[in-house]
Amino acid sequence: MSIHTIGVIIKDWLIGLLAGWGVPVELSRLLIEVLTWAVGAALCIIAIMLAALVFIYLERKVSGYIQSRLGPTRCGPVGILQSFVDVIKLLLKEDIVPAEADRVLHTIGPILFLAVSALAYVVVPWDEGGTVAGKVDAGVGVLFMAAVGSMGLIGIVVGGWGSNNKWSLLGAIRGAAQMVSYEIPMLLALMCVVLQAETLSLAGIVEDQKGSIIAWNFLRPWMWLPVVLFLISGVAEINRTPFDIPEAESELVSGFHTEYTGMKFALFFLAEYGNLLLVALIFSVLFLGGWLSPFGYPDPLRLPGIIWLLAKSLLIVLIVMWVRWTLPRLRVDQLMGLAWKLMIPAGFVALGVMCAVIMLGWA
Amino acid sequence: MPEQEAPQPAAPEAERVPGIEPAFAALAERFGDELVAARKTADGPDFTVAPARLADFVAALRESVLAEPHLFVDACGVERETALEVVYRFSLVSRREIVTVRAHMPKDKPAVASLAVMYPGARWPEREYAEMFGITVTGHPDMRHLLLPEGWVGHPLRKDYVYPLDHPYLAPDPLREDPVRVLGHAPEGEGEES
Amino acid sequence: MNEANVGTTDQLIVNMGPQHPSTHGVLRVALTLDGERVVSADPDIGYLHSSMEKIAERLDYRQYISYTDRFDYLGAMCNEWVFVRAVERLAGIEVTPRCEHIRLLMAELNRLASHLLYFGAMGIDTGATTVFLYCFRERELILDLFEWVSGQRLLYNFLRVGGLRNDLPDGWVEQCHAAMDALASRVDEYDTLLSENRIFIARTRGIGAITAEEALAYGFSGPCLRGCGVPYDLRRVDGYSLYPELDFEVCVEEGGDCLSRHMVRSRELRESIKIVRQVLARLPEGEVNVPVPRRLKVEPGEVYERIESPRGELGCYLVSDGSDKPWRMHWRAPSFYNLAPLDRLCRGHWMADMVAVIASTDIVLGDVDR
Repeated sequence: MSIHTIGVIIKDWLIGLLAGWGVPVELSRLLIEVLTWAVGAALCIIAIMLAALVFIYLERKVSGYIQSRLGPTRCGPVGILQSFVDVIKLLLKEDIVPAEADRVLHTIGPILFLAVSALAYVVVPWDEGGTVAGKVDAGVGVLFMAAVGSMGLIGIVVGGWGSNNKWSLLGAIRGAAQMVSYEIPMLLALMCVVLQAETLSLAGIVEDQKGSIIAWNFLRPWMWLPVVLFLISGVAEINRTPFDIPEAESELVSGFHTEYTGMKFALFFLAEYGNLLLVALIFSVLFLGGWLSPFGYPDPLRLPGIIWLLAKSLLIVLIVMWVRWTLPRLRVDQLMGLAWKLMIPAGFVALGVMCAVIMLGWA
Repeated sequence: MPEQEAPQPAAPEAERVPGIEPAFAALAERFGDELVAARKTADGPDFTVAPARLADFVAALRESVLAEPHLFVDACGVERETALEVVYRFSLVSRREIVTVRAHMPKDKPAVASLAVMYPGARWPEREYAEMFGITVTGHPDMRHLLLPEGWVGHPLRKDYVYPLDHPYLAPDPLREDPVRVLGHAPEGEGEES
Repeated sequence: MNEANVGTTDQLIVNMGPQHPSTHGVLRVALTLDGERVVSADPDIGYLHSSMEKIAERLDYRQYISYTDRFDYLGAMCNEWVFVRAVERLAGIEVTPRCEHIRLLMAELNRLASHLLYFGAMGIDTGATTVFLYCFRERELILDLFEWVSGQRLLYNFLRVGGLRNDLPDGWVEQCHAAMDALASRVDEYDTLLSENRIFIARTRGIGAITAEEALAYGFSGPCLRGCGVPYDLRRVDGYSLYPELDFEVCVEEGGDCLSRHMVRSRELRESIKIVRQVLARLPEGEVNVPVPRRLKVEPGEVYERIESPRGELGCYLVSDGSDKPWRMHWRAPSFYNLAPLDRLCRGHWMADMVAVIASTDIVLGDVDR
């Protein structure tokens, strides 16, 4: 039973219930629709929160393992409650706004950043036929995700500008430059997948890879370049080492969130980890067959698709963490050079190859 | 805090015999009376020159003793019994030889010619001894305070320097203001440091 | 922004420090930036000034030893060593061979500890946090040795005029051997992680370059000067203590940039391990202390004594008036001279390079301000 069928059953039951109370069917359908959206929105935020809680703990343990230390051990067994304690700490902290800061922008920044991050979750196909809001994937999931994803930098710029701190401003400028630049190779890689699947729908892209692991995109030779491009630009989009120049601790103190404390800082933090999960999810959907089981379709193990999707995403997240705790940071000009001089030309090459493959009828 | 008494009669410079060793005759000829002393020590040559000619003298050394590649090692001030002294050191790179150049100045109006243009490494130490000893350095491109805050009064490394207890940079010290309240009893061993 | 400003750029003046994470203490740099380019960098020092030189005039020669630990706190053994050498030279005291061996051993171990910390700091400043923790893991081995012999991990107060606080405890030599073995196998690991990393090389090659002539005129010393291709290592130039009898190489790199300075320290780690092993092998038996009068008075005179500290030429200028206290004491602090050309090193580079340059000069602010 997929998430989608559960959703349908609950909807039918609610309509029946409302009809029993004498509510007109048309009205109850509208109500249900609104309710579905509200629940979906709530689920997105909850997903981000959970992802952040889990990933913060995971990051600490993974970095601890890589750096031959223990990571958190005090809160709960093997420190598993550390993230919750941190959340409570952040909630209770005083919210400090710098004296000359723009109060409105300073507040809007983190909210925008998180909202945009949550918005993109709407189109993720969690399971067969199931995005969070059922019908949102109106055939343009890829387009929606790309459009929404590039809005994240508005939050960064607004927050960095509103802090009235030169370090924050420098971080915001760097962030804007970086995110705009890496959007392009990311989209070029996306285009290759779209051409392959001949659909803009994320669910459709998964459908296109139906079958066992052999049918997945990442095993097709003409997809190898897009895989690399997408992973690198994905890491750059979410500002993690070696591309963490907008917050570059040793240079810019903390970059755009230098002046944030308490819950506003937590919002930035949540959104960063939300974005990390998002990139991992999209990568799994594009190249690793999304919710498909590696053993063929239908899944011989009969596991829900969401488990496969999360497992694949976790793998990507671990790789990204591994990279973060190993490599030094690029300098801002080297980072831009990498995007404009190497990755964008490579993206066009990948696109050309993809077109050739289609014209030759190999796809 | 009690000041250290005036220096004992056997002040260091008393033992130094003024005179020019024959090896430095060419320099002596060129600088005449302004080369006060030139000796050879275990570490290397040691010159004393008139403060106004310090930079010229070091420039001349660069054609003789310091012709080889050498490191600008250090510059510092020393207060002698009757005079202030600045000490510059250079070290040859190839072997152990430290070239020392000194200049003596009267305590009331000390001034010395800067080496900062020739040796950019001298900029900071000259700023340091200028503020610590109150020596005027002529020809220095940037004479702000270095270690002390702007507007510091007095020259801390002078022997007659009295620590300003009411300086604006100092927070009031409750122990000094009202020791009985802080300690609960009258302070013991007052003045034991001497 | 008004109409007239549209299309033009302003220079941005930012305060880097004194609470900035990468200024290695309380250094403040007034940075003028054009975008991200450094137009000028004006270091402002003195936040840690603690009147080390004035304090010396009030304390007798032996009381001051514990103060010497506290300015260059990463090279405390070297500071103590140069000070007791200066006092001993003034007072004409000869120390025993065993004492000389142990002092040299301590200085080299201290160099290892300091260079390990440099490695970590360089890593963390360029964004590679993991190297930092690896280096601290190995530095811990050396600090354990120091703690065992002196009771302290950072500020040892171990050397005395005419000897040492105490002899090496039983089993210390074996432990030291073990630590050297562990360290020797790990040094290559740091190089793979950091020195050979392509991103790291891209971040440091050609950055903060200075010619040998300029470096000499600025008073650069230690690994910074050797990174400019000048083989100036006081252990060889002066040949003090037992160094002439030991087999080690003076590490020199051409280039004068951050990478050269980094590689000099990387190679010096290996050389120091070599030196420590040689000294351990030839450590003589015997007394460590020679009798010194309780109230040490030295003849009037002056002495400039210098050794190669982890950061460069560490000099101690001591003027005596014949009493039991120095008449004047001056430190030739290597960090002070290595920091001075910061503006020259950074000008025209990116702001991110500032951090690499400051890290590569390996300054200790306590040493700069004294």
